[in-house]
Amino acid sequence: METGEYKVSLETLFKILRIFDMNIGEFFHEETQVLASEPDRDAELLNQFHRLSPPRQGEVLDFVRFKAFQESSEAAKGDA
Amino acid sequence: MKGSEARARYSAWAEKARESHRKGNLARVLACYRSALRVAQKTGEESLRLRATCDVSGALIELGRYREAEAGLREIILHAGDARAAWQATFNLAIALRRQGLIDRAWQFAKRAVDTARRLRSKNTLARSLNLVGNLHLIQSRFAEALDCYRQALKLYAACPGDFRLPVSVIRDNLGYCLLLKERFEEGLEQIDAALQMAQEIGQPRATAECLQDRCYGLMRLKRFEEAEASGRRALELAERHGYREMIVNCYYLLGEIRHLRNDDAGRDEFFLKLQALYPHLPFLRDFLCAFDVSGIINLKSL
Repeated sequence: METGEYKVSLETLFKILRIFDMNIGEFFHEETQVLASEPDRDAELLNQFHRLSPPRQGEVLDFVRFKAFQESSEAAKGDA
Repeated sequence: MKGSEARARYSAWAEKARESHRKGNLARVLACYRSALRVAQKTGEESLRLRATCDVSGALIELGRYREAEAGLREIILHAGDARAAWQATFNLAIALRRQGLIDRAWQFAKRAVDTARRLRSKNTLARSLNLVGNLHLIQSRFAEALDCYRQALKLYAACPGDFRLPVSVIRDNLGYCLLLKERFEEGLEQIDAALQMAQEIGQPRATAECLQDRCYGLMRLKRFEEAEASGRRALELAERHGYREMIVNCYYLLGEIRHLRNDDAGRDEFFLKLQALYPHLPFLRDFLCAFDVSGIINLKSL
């Protein structure tokens, strides 16, 4: 990791994805139920985002883009 | 049973096991070594029993039954006066632990295996131990250290009389794959091709499949997609025939990625959906692999 070229097995990558997806899923589910009507949710999200280091911010952005892609694919399937 | 008769029966079972190993019939390898162990136990000869226990453990490792493979090894390490058996037990234990993801503990036994091999003054055992240490460096992405270990191991084999084509093929493939991860693709493929030729000469399916899989990866990174796919398909065919699960996973990924890079959506989906079927708890896997290129961050040998 210190050389910036750490590589993982597909098995490990899939384990990471599983943990990440479940936690994010649970997180958004709770947020939707509890905070959907709260106006400062976006501000909170941005505030937390800016506390992260630039590489972590990049990871979050990548993940959000992936979720958006996933959602649009699902929507497209629903239309068909 | 007389000692000499028992030894002959033991040797016969061990030879059958080695023959089955050359053919890639791992279940038969285990059955033969278990028979050899039963004969060894009856002889009352401690050195034979220890060797047979290590052979059974080695067969279990090849079958992916790592926890079972640990049975009896610690006792051998602690009590054996037989340094060769102690080395084999240490070596097997390090591999079994590595395969279970217990890397720190694997390191302890791998270093001990190197020390024991040096005391034994056996080039073969030292070369195998160095390959193991190289593999531990490789899965922790310390590629320079891994390369150094593989090169030392090959140098030792170069000075060894006898037929060591199988271990040499495995180590050259490891060396080549490590070069691919360093993005030294041409050099890496040269080593892998030499390893593949040796593996095919001796007809060892696992080593052959591993070389073909790594060759597929290297050619894919060079965007030589047709050759990459041909290698990947041959690797997959061998992996499916012999039940090498981690290689099946790798080949589904590689073949799907190659199709994706060739803009063949149907071909891509064929393989990514097969991969996803192996991970039903990850229903978004295909979408993820379509959205992200992970070819630069994965290590096909990192278990």
